[in-house]
Amino acid sequence: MRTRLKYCYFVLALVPEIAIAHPVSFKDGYGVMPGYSKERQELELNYSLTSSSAIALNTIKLDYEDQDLVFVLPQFNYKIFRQNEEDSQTNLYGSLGIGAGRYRDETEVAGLAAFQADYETRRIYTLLSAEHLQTEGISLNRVRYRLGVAPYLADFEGIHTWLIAQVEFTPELEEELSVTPMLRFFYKNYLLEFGVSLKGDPVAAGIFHF
Amino acid sequence: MRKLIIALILAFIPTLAVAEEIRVSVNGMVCSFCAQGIKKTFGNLVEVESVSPDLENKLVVIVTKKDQLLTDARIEELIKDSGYEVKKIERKS
Repeated sequence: MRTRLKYCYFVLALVPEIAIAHPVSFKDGYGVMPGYSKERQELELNYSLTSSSAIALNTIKLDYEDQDLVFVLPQFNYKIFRQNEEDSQTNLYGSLGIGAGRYRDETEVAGLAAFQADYETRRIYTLLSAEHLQTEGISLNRVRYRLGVAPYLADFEGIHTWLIAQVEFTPELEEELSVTPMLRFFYKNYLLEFGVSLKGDPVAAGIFHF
Repeated sequence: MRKLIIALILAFIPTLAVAEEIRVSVNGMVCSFCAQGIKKTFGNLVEVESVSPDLENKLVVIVTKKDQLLTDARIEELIKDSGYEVKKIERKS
């Protein structure tokens, strides 16, 4: 079982990480969001019931005190607020998940609570997210801020490029802030992004909607 | 009364016989990745011949098939299901 899990995460490591998710897409839309970073690999599969709510299955593997910590969480994502303006879009999302956490061969009940706020125009993108993961005796938090700029404007069918600076704080895993310059590309319903932190650790993310 | 009914039917026949171009101004459409839902949602409708989102002009141009109707209320509902808001709808045959 353990070997199989390792194999799964090795496969996930070959595809980009979900650095920033689309917790809800469009009514009847599916999302596949795999991810990789040095200390965290994950995969979220979701289905949007409406344009405001989605059900999801989220699996997360963390490197916690030199041991694998694995979460498997059925999850509910909700778009709490959306402001559509002529030249901008503002979103606030919340997510709640409850499932299982496995650490040192022990499986316990686990939970996740997260929120994400973002604002974007065709030129600028900014995001703040926070996440809390909990299982027996372990609490993990993550706060992330991003600022992105599009160096050129592409049309609907074109390849879009974003230059992004990401700052991440995961107090239980790392004492210092992690700063990562990233490149994001999207084309049609495929989004891919990757970067290398100032410490030299690679980060990658992807989203596929259908 | 019969004449009135016949006149109404005749008045509608030319409208239904041709395809229609519908230009929908949409608020919040700033990202092509996020707006893929609009393309998918309208592209799946039997009434629709083609759908072309235009980020620059914040427009979604929908061309219906001949003899097919797409009401304003239906368009507004589907744009909302995609996460956006309709600002204006213009039609030309």
